[in-house]
Amino acid sequence: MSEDEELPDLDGGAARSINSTAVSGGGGDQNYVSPSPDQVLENVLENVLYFLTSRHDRNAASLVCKSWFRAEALTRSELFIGNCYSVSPGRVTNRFKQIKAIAIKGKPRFSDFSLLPPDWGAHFANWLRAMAASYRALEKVYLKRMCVTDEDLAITAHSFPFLKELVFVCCEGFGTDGLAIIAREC
Amino acid sequence: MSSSTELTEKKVFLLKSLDGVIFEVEESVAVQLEVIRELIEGDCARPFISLYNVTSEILALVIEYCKHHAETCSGGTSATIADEDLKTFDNEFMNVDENILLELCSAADYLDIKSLFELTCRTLASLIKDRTIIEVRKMFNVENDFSVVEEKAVRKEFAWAFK
Repeated sequence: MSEDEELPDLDGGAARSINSTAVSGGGGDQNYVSPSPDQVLENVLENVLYFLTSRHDRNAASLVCKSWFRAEALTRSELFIGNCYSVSPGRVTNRFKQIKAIAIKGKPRFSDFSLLPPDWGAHFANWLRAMAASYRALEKVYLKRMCVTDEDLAITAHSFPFLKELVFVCCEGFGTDGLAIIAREC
Repeated sequence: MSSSTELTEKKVFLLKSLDGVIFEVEESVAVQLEVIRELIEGDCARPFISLYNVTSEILALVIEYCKHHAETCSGGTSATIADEDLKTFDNEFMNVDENILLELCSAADYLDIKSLFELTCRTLASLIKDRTIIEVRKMFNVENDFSVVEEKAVRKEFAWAFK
């Protein structure tokens, strides 16, 4: 017993410890019950998921159970929205908190052949409002067939201090004024 | 390698596992455990340290890992050869079943051994990669606590939004 009194005991801290059962004397704790694998995994899950990069694997991971769903949402840094109307921007920013790169697709491909009315939609503004409030760390924005105004570009320039890459493919609605703000501010 | 005078001064620590097994390790190995390095730097390290969350089976593996890394880094070989050697060792070291891997990961987290923690996390992620949801649940014995409605809602979102 006496040796234990002067031990600098490392009890791991409540947040990290899986089982903080104390060891007494020199014999060790015979009552120790190993935590189950899913308990152990839950403690380190976020760190593991950082190394899971493909969307396919991440989507599968988020369906394993509720705690995996939460851990996956917290660690996802790249987001791909295949259709800007398939999910609301608020729902996305509520679920994913650490996004650094986002790709959003707007109008369907046949809009390239003037088969959609001119004011069909796919406005970036709705997404931008939600993103500006939640994704300060955003570094990369990729938009395809979206409507982007000069005002959107000004908000983009002011809202994302770490922005490094802005890609617009087949987007419309903006002019040189908007681009000038991006060039000046970013 | 150390000279004979250094040898006589070489500090040794005794690490006691959760189940009471005592391991003798040299300082160069002990300092790889960040928790112990901090104790040493703060002059609080006693020669006998109890580790509450690590079983002897896992602690033996952790010490093997730290020993190899300490020896390779101080072995006088060139950086590239040492790197290669560590890579080969790490790959073989990770060739354990997933339960051991999980316990190693958890121990590396608790003992704050950054390189081992990253290695085990990376390996665990590679086990999850390309597996179906059912396979992952089975591998880690995870119970699906989604209701049918909830799971359907998440799946529906993937179909359009996050595919």
